[in-house]
Amino acid sequence: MLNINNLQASIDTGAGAKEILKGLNLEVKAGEVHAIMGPNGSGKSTLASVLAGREDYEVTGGSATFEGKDLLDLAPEERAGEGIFLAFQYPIEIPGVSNATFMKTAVNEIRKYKGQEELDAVSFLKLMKAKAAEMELNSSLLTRALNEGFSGGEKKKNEIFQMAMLEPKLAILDETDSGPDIDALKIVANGVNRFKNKDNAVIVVTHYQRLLDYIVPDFVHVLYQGRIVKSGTKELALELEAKGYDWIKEEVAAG
Amino acid sequence: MTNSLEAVPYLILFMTTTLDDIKSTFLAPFEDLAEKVSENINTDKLTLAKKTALEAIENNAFPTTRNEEWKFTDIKSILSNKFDLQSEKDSSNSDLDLNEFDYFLNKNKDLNSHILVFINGHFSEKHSDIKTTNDKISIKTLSNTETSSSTFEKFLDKFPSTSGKDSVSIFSDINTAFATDGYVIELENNQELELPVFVYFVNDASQKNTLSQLRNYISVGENSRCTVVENYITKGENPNLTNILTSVNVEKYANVKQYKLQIDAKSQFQVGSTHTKQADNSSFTNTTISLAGKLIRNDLRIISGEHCESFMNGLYLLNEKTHVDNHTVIDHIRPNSYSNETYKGVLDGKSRAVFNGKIFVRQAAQKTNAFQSNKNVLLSDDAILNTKPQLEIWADDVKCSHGATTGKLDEEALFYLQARGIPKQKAKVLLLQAFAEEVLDSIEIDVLKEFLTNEIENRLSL
Repeated sequence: MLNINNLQASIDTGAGAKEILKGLNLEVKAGEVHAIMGPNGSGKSTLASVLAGREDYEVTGGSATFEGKDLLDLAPEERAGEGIFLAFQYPIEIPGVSNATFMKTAVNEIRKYKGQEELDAVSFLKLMKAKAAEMELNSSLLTRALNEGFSGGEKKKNEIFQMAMLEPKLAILDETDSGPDIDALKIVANGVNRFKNKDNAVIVVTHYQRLLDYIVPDFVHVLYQGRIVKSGTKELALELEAKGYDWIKEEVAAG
Repeated sequence: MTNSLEAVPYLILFMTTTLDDIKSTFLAPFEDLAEKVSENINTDKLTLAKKTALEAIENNAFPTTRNEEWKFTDIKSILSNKFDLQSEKDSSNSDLDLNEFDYFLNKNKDLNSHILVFINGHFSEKHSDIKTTNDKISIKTLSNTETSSSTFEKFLDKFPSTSGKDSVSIFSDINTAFATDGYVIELENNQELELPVFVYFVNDASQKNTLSQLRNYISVGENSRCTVVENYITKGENPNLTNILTSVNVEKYANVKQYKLQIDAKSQFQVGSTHTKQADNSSFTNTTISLAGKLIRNDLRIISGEHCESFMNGLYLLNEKTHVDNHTVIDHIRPNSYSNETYKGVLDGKSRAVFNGKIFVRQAAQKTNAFQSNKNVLLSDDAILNTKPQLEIWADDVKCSHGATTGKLDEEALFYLQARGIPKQKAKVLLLQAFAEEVLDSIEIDVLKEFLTNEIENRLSL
């Protein structure tokens, strides 16, 4: 599904370009859940942003293909149309745009992209209510302005609700565990578990192991200094939880 | 030292000559009218006011950008045109079909309102539709009122800033001396004008450079209410100017809503002012929406009594070389009043917007709550915005705040919407609509709100 090969990306810091991803390789197949862990500043969020198409980053080398298509060639909205979804670490508050209007526009734009007919108001409303209930999202949040005044937990739940509405092929959760309390975290995890099936895939980007208690990964990768330096199964996450990241850093330093 | 002394007189001489030239070109069409006024031997207040205005016109220059109040708005582009005053005969017989205009909102039959139409500064009865009201409510025109002179007098006394030595600018004096017509809406105490009054000021500039001068009066008695919507429509591409002045007298417990829609013509120049006086416990709302024009200058002045509410809502969405200047003044002279001003702007192309919002809180006006905000989004590097809040507060127990922001469209928000599959252009429109929503939301006439919402969406989608 997703093939990342020797990906290099940098950001313009104002004082010159700073390289963040330095040759990253990753393959994600349908039906898999991958966790990407790593110490702060290792490039985890950059990877999520580059995959979603954020313009702040410049890809300087390597490739990323999604179902055979060159991902790096597509605008962010086209990537969404192809089936990539990024759950933001910091969902943006947009005053004046209601959650429902936003969602209806997004659902129908993606349907248009796929050559499907747009949903009428009634079918959309029905779908939205069902998914909101599934996500335990308070229905009053649907009529409010997008994320405006939402609590941290509500924002994260809203991200997962959007994922459920858009039914992407690949969901990338960027530090979805940062912020919310344990109840919200469980709801988010339940949402992801309900979402995943043999035809789609999930990448969980996280600093901590705690989310992985609820979303069990098939593979765990450690990202450090812009590269994946270690890959393993869920036991690797537990080991990182117990021992921290220093031993990884030492291993890398020792070459 | 010697050098500069030598240089200065030449400079002054040069500039004076140029300004005088411009002034005489602009005023040339008024010569006959001016003569009539000065030869009028009547001594009624109106005639005297016109004579005073004539003197003021003669003694005062048109403002230049060296005048603080006109610093960012250069009116040379207005004055350099030769305008035609069109007689009533040319205008009222006009066989214009209003339905051919995109912005004749009463095309929509769901809009139930009184309709007043002025063409080139003259009332057109044929195009108007004043529905029957009770005899305590009157919707008339300045030219038709039996009491035209007394109306004028009544208002001149109440609104010294509309002419003479305290007038806002020479345009007000020109208006006082030469206004041809205008609407006069009067409600006695305890009256409600159920339907809004939609007024259309049409400039037919298809053949000539048209100049319309209108003088309007709204007077609402105690515990009464009314809504007036001013629309400006232009036919043709010739430069045309509307010089308009509206006085609004709001008595105790009364409620007046005034809308000003400047959405039609790219060829229109407009200089307009609204002067409002609020008695205690009254409410006044002015909503000014500017979407098109060559150069527009709006002056809004409100004097507020005790326990009053005053709302000033503005939205300007400009492109190409449109220039819109909003100057507002809210003067709190008595305690316990509330004012709220929200002006929002979206600037594209080489457009320019000026916002100057003054809040005065006099010493007696304790417990005043006055809020002001001016937010702007610049879509182009060539667009210019000049914003200046001005607070002068003499009372010590007040709550006042003001804020002005100018920025580009929020890139983070744009990316968020794109990442959900919404194409960039559509995402922009969505965000700008959301930005404008706060002002549109305050519109209480559904047909109007819907019309403007669609109109703004269409313009943003271009």
